Amino acid sequence: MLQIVRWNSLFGLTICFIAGCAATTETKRLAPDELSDIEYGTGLTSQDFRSIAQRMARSLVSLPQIQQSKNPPRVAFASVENNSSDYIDGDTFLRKMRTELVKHAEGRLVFLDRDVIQQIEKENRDKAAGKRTSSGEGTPYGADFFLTGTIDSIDRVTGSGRTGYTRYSFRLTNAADSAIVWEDDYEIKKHSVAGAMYR
Amino acid sequence: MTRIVVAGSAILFCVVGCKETTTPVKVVGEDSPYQTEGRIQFEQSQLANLIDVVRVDPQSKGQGLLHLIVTLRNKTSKPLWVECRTTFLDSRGHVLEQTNWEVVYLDARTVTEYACTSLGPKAVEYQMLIRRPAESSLHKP
Repeated sequence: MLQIVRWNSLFGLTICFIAGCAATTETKRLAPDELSDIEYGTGLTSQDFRSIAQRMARSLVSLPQIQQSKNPPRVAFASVENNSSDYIDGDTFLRKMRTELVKHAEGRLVFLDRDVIQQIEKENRDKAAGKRTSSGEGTPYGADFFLTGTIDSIDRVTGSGRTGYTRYSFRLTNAADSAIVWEDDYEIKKHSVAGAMYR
Repeated sequence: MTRIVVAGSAILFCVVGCKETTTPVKVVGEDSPYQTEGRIQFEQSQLANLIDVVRVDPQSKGQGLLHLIVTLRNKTSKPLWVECRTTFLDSRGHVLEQTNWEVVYLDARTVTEYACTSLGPKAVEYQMLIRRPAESSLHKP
């Protein structure tokens, strides 16, 4: 009887030890351009995202209309149209481009924050009504250009293999006459084969 | 008596051992640390056997933007993927901006141009690094 109890205790301890090991998690920090071990598939990676935004920002700032303009052009966002099969918030590319340009382009472009336009209008109304202090009349700027884009993709799936081609195109459109003054794109094609577990 | 001496020594050891110490750093002087090894560098020495840098053409663009065009020749009979990163420096050799590691495709036995423009007008110097993608990147697109 005592021996059975001993064996049961030993078995219990072993189970606890294994379960304890399995429950241990490991976290490691990665560089933003580094791929982790679980980034399978043909989807967008952080490295792709950063490459696209950086390349587009550098292409945009080189535009003669921007470089030669005496007054920095005012740019507003128009939502990026995502026609691809991948779920991506297209506007996140615009936000990353804006960050790069505001950080480094030294005022060559002025971006209009239309996300907070309602708060700005309310603030102006409150200032006009004397509910807020005012440092002068302010009217929100009108846009000279709209920055927008399109994401298109062609996907092919055969058995466990998947091929995805995605084209990310961005353009700057004149707000007065709708002329496109700049356009650039970035193309990515990937092929992946899923392991038996993922089929 | 011996016990008191041992206990005292142990307490003293703990106190001294737990005390944080700092180490003075000797600065290794380099005028332009980003360019000590040259403006264009391979991160892995074996890349020199696969790729030639055949032309480097930095030029001023627009209102003082630094536009860099580097022509690379893939000497092998197979296409190659490499990753390039450009760092733009100001007149004192400090980093103004840095691109991410961008994937560049090099066709076999021919030349490919890699171009990069600074976002701001203060860039006067650059450093470009070229490396092979990590092993995982080669197998996981």
